[in-house]
Amino acid sequence: MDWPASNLATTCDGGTAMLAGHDGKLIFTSEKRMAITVFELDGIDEVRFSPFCWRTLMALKHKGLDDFGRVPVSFRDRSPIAFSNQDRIPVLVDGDHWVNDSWEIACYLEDAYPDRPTLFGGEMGRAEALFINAWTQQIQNPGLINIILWDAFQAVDPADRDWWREDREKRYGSLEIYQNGKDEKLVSWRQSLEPMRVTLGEQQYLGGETPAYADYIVFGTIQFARCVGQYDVLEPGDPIRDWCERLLDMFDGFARQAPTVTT
Amino acid sequence: MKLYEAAGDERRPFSNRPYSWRIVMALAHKGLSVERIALPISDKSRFAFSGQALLPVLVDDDAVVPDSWSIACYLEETYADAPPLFGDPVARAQARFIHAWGDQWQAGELVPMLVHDAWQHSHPEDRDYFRTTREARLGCTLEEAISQRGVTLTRFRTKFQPLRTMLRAQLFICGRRPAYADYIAFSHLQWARSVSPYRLLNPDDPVFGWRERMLDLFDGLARKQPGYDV
Repeated sequence: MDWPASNLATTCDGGTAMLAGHDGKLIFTSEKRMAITVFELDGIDEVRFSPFCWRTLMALKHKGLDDFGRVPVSFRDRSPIAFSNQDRIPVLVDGDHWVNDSWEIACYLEDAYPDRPTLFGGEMGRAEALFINAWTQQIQNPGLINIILWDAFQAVDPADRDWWREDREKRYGSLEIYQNGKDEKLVSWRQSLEPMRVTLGEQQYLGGETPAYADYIVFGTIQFARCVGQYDVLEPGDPIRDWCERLLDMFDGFARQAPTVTT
Repeated sequence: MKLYEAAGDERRPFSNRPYSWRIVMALAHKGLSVERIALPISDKSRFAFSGQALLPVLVDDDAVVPDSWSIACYLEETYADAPPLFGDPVARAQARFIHAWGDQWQAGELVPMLVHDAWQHSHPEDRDYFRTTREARLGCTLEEAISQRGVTLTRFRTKFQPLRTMLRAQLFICGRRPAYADYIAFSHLQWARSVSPYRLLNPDDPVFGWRERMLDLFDGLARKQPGYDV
């Protein structure tokens, strides 16, 4: 049986698992069955810029669940996640259980692995993190999208670009209009981040002395910009950029080492 | 326990300021009773004992604690057996973000829209001080500040989108029950309600419903304060 390359996931110890049978059912054929697999969106040259996928990846690292497989999924072809009967990514598979939606995934990890470092602190922290999730939604879309949509398009795999253009233009209009006027838009966008900047004047992370899931939520948005070559949406010297640098250093530079578009 | 607060006018025997109101709610949350002492803000000598120039100041036996954030943390630590304001260290840290989020639209939208009304409700001794300091901060007269109300209101409502989105999933910022992060955000709206008849929220807005729940807390503690039914 031939398996599409995108259905192969490699574990950290070199074991290989095969996922997603032709009927869309999830099956594992590896003898070394992985605990956890993440299906994530893939761009050009292995640049994976999805902010929601980054939230999930950082949450897994935070929990110390390092032995997870990563399966790239193209924008136009979501068949690798057909087993989930939906098309939203990321999807996390843990044993015979799957979860989609980055927020639901974080909640799942917190509840399924309560003995590992906490993502939320407690129930009140979790509830507040949902507020920060909603705040980030606002600064990401329309905020950041309005500035880097064209750059994101350049980071899409050429084979996916027709699909991506059609999908995004339904929501945002012609992609070409996003090539211009960045500087003006950046001024108000940077201003919109002020609550974050003020908070980081008081403490190292949104989560306090150490990062929590709320940090990874906002980080996903900045990493999105960084992956598509637009890290300078944050000016050097901005405390938010310094905070981002600290997160890039975490987990042995896990997020820093990720491929980015070079401009 | 005594809470020294910025006074309002004769129709407002107690303070209506956001940074007082979050503490009044926090004290009720902890089940603590307090004597509220309202002072005109222009005479700093009356709270010089606190070693700084801002209200509110909490006095609890020997402890003199200025600054609303410090007061909340003091209450949480000193009255650790009473219902928690934060619950866990992460929630406390994240509440700081919500504090900063509230400050952003207080300064950016609420003050420009309501400052003229607030001036009319300030303590008689504070009128000149209030006008001078606010106009210096705003860079225009109080009358000019409110001229763009309609535009500012649209922007203000957009600022609440995160809360609106969150309220689809839970009743309060802190989850099933309110806690300090809710009191932070609510305190600004309580100030608005106290000083101005200007309607900020439509009744069909989920944020309006959340504010109603906050007004009902502690036997209608906030609702019973003098204010406009907006």
